[in-house]
Amino acid sequence: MGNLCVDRPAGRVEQEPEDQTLLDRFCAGDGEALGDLADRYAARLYSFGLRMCGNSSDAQDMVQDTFLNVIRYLKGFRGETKLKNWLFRLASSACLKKRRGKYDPDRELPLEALYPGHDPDAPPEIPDWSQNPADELINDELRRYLVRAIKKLPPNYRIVFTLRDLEGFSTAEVGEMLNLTAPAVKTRLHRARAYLRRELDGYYRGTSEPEDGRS
Amino acid sequence: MKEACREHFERLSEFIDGEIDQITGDRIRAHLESCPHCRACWATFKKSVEIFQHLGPDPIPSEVLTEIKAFIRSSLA
Repeated sequence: MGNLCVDRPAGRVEQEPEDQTLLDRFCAGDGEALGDLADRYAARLYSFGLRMCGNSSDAQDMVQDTFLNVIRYLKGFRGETKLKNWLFRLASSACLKKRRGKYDPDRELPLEALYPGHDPDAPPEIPDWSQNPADELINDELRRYLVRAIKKLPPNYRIVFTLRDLEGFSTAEVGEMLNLTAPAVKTRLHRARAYLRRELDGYYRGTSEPEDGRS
Repeated sequence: MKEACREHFERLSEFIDGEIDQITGDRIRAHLESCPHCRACWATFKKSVEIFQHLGPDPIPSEVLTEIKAFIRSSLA
């Protein structure tokens, strides 16, 4: 079994230049490289933790647990995935461990309950908000509303949604991080989005506060 | 409610993300052209995804970042 600092194993992916520099410095024994890695990624990992754990203290614990594992395992990192993806994989594991026994259990979001349905007697209506640019729609109130709604998602859906839509990882990358097949990632993402779309629709109609995702 | 509407709704995320095969994609496009209810649903779904993807990260308080870096330094010692 090789490692990044000794070998050039086959199957290495190209790292982002800043990450490659940090890895090279780490391999050269530069003790400051991990601090600089924290500068580069702690904020994003913290935001991810906040969305998954729902409070600052647990998010900070999660980031620290992640960096403990970085210290433990970075020498064995073989570069078969991007450094950023590896960090989020460690962070996802830390989240899953942390919430065990503490937060909501995983549960299913049945698609039936999220299907908007049609009233054949009512004329179809394309709401105004769906015509406006996203940048113009996002304000502090909507952001707070969505943060509450995201928090209500069952954790097994929330983690996929957060990695995919909020952190911008691809379906394949999320599958790799969470050991899920691509169809499983797509199914969870779609149901999470369908739940949140319904909440957004309620927000714009002024008819709902974010509900528990048990419906 | 038509069964076709329900079936297409199930694939809407893949359709929006461009992760669907061409035949199914063409079928959904044709359905959206003929079904105004599904077209309205698609419009709100697509805009919702755009909003999610524009939300951006929550900022990290500077004192939290300082504490995390101090924790890393102490763990390395």
